[in-house]
Amino acid sequence: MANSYSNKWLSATCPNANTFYVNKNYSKYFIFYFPAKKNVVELNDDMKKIKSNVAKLVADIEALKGSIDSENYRKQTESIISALNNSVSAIEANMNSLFNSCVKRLEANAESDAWFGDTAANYARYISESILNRK
Amino acid sequence: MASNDSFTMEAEKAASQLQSINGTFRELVNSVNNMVQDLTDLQTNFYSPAGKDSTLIYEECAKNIGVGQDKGLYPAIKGAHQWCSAVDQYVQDKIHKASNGNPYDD
Repeated sequence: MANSYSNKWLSATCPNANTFYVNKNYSKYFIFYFPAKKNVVELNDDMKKIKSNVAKLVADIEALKGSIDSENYRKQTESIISALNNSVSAIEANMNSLFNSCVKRLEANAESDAWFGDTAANYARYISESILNRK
Repeated sequence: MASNDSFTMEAEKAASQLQSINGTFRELVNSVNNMVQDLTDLQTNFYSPAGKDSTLIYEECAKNIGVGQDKGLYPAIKGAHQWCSAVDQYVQDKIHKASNGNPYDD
């Protein structure tokens, strides 16, 4: 029952909430609302689209190369394709680091405040009660 | 004459491929712009008292995307687009010369 109430409160108050962070070091409790997890999911989708579009562009350029009767232009395609592929690989490597770092940070925040309870429902109940009691 | 006809056919095929590539460029630039926006949103939303490591990785991501820089995906796309424009000009020039019966007259 308590969980049900808390989840309703969570949904009604922060419909896009993924994670709550409650900083217990402040005299008053501040609630940091984290849509960061949503951003991470969106970035992951962006990365997939970029990889797909670059692969299509590279395939198109490769096909075009066969229609060109200039050795100079054909050679230039190699460096163009290489630059595109290298850039995507570099972004993907950093994105993976960023995703891992974000997930670890979110988990660490949850663990550091474990005395509130480690579920979103417990956070929500605690937060709702704190707000009601302050009035 | 047979040689000229053959060349014209290849050049027209290349012209058609270039038109298709322009659509791919637009999609690619849109997807990169979405990533830049989502990355900016993440930086805004990802508050953490000890989040310096995330900030550094964010900066590394932004650097590899290469907005306003000379290295990264944006400059690579720009370079590819410039290359395609040059090829387009080359192909149009060849088509024009082929239509005058002399594609190899530079």
